[in-house]
Amino acid sequence: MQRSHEFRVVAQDPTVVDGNQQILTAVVKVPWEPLDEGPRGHRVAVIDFDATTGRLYDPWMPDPARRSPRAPSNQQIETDAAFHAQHTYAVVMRTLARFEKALGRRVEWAFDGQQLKVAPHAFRHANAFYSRDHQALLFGYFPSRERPGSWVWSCLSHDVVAHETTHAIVDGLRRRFLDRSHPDQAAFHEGYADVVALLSVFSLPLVVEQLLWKEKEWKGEEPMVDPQTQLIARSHLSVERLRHASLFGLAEQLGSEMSGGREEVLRRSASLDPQAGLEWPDEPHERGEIFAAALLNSFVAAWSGRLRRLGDRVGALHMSQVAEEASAAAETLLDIIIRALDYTPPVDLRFEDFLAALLTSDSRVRPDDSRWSYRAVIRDCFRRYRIHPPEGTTDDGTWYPATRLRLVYDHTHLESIQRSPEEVFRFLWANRQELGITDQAYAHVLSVRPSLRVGEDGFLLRETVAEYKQDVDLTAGDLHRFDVRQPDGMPDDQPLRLSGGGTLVFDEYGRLELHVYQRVFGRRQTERLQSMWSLGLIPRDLPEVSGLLSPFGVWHQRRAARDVSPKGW
Amino acid sequence: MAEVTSATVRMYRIGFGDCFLLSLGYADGPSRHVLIDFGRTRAPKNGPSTEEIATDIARVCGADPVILVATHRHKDHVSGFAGKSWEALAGLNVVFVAQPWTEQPDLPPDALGPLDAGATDDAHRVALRDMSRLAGDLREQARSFRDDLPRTLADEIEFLGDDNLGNAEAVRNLASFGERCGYLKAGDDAAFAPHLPGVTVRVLGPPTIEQWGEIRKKTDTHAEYWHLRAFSTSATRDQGGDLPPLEVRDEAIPVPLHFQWFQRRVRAAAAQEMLGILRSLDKAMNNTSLILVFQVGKHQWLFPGDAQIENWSFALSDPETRAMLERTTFYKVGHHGSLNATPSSLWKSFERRGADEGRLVTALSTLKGVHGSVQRRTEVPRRRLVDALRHESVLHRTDDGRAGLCDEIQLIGGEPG
Repeated sequence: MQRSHEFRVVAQDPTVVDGNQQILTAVVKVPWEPLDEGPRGHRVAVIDFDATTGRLYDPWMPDPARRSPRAPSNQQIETDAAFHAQHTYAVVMRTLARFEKALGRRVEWAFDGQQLKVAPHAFRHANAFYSRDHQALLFGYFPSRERPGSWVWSCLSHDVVAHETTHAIVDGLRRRFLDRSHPDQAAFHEGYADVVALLSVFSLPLVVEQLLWKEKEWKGEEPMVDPQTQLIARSHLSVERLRHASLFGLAEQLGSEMSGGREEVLRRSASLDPQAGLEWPDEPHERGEIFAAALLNSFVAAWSGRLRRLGDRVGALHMSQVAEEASAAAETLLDIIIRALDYTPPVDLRFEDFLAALLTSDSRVRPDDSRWSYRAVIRDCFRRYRIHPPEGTTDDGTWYPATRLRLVYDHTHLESIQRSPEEVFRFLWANRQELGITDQAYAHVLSVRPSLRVGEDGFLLRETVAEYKQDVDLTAGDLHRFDVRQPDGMPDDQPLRLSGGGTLVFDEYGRLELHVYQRVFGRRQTERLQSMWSLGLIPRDLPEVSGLLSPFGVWHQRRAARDVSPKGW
Repeated sequence: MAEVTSATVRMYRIGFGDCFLLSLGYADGPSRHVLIDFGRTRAPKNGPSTEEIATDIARVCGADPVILVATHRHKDHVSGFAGKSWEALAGLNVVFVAQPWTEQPDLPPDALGPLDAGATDDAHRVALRDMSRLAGDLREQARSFRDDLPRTLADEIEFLGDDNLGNAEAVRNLASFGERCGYLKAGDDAAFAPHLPGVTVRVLGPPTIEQWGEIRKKTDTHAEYWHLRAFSTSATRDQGGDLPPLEVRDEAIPVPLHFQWFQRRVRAAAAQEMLGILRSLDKAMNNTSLILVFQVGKHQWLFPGDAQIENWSFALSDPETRAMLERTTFYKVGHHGSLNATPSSLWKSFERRGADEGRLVTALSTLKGVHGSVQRRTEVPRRRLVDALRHESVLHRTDDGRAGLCDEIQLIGGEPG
């Protein structure tokens, strides 16, 4: 029985070549499923339509006899639409599979449907984006300025595809992260997608080998890799040099024409010195770069730590071994940051919340971190960027367990609470006071999802993760009644919608283990409002309540008037 | 010093566009006139033609010295400087033509980059020129699948694409005045002095790249204004007019019916992408607007073109300028009454707002239903702004349905505005 499909993908982008000037490619595996032309499977459907030209391009065909050769030439890579389609499909599916493996469940999309549509050549513009409304990933293309006569295909940039796919996945897991909120939240979406994209690239040993090989000189030292033996002396494996080789090296390689800004993320991660007086910009991309820098430097530090433990008596390591350790570090860190999503609050996310979520989820999945000390490394890197665990966390930086609360489980059914928003809401309602949830705002359960992990004893443990949100409408003049400070300059009659919410994690017995709660009122709401107000993000009016009579209202009116005609009065 | 004894602003009922003729009478010597913009994208129903307007301008000005001002190159500010309306202005005694520095025609028409590699101002000008071409490309693309798009989306692309197309003839006509042309930046206050005695003219915008850099916050990367190079770099200019070298689907393979569902959405997404680019181009172009303040004694008349918040941010960053603007007695409402062009802080600072005597006079040249949408709260003119103008100023507006060629607003002499 087949377990996987193999696809050949561009390892970075078409400007990155090996020693023979061949575009660097890699073979990746994605979970097997029957595929239609496209490729089109149960989660991803590639439909290669170009809105600019009105054309449909040659699709990838499931019939092996009609597929491109296994090792395509540069020319084929650049101009074969079917190759582009299968490359894009493979990177999307690989990214999706990565998330599902780490979370132990299928990931829903944020839209009403199960198939994410992908258009590898959607339009002739230098852009690529995820659209919830269109249920799609859309990739642009344009004539290259740096290589006249060539084209830049954003779908062939491995990190661009992984980045956009990550947006789609995070949107499915946390729909409210696209709401307007504190600058950290918008920055998180971008910074997190950048990190996943870049770690996905670093998880390919082939790519890391290229980066190491190309690291010819640094601060007057010898080249990193001995060209004869392909060995790397231990003295060349300092954190600083690895950082330069990997982050700066990849930044150099990412084509400036279509790096989506990741080139800058890498440069800043390689060069940003948090000790030199860090300014926190409000602009989401810049702010997200700081978050990404903390995580990417965690990767380098973890990689370096792994290398240090590889036989201290060995004076040099083979390049492939160093690359494998990078890949292993990248894969582990990917698992850690993916699992952390389940432990984040559903609204008003701050970087510090993500840190706490990461430390909490990882300590539960991998209680023993003594071998590689990932959590210590991450915490240290975040600390250097002045990101510390928030209030309401333990000395380890983890969320306080909810087991100390006196909760009522009467009339709560285990089977139901593992899948039913209504059951979860019943639990919330019965325990709202003990959980500290305000009843001044309506609460609404957004999702109930399983999360599977392997416990210390090797048994499969099933947790249930539920999100709920709270909203309340009021005017600025009323804020003081609810322990929220009115932002400077905000008029009293400014209408506001305050949001809060929480994430509940139930154990396999339906007992609450964690409650990660963002209060509707209080200090954080004050901070959120102040930053949104100063950035001009608070609209003058609230979203309008629909003025349309519901269909039921129309029908009942007609019945009352004895009007049975299909049209109006 | 020459004494200005009368001042009148004629606000022509041009439609969605601007055409203001400021006429200054002197105790000694001929009157002098300043024609501030002349263009439109949409004519009012039963309104005057641009030829009729030009004929009236020529009549009013006669042989008097005239200054032409094109605050920026959008069609709704310059279209009248071309075609038959331009012919009707042929007899004007033009002594000075004022445009923003971004219009300076130093660069060869086919220049892809600045003359000096380090000249960011030149790079800016190249990018602006590319933008006009890009606007035309995008409009044509959207037209090719207009039927698949929501009407509001299609209409806005059409409007912005049209407004941002380079009006080559108008640009040439204005540039033909050669040495009488001035390409102004913030602070070029002396430019008008030889031509308007008794009047001080302050130029508050647009800033050059260098001027902007002085006050720009480190974190301020939001303004698309400053990413013009990226847009022009990624512009959809044809290189050889080629289609992408990808094989199209074999026609013998039937197209699954479900493709149509997605194809419509890809078109809509592509159109939204185009609209995003066009809005950025439009805003960037608006931000090239000259912001002029005319001062005669205690009178102060503000003409900001279509300057938006970024351009205004530069002007308002200076405390002395802010203090000066508080004394504004006449305000030409920016960008036809859009919200972004009248910063709230500026509006609130006008001392004569709501005054019982000597109330602020405002002039709004606009047409409803052309730009923006009520549903998205982007309609031009913006209702909330118009309410404020009505309640707190003496408002003159061209979209009030009245007939006539223009509103004559007396600023000095005769009955006040």
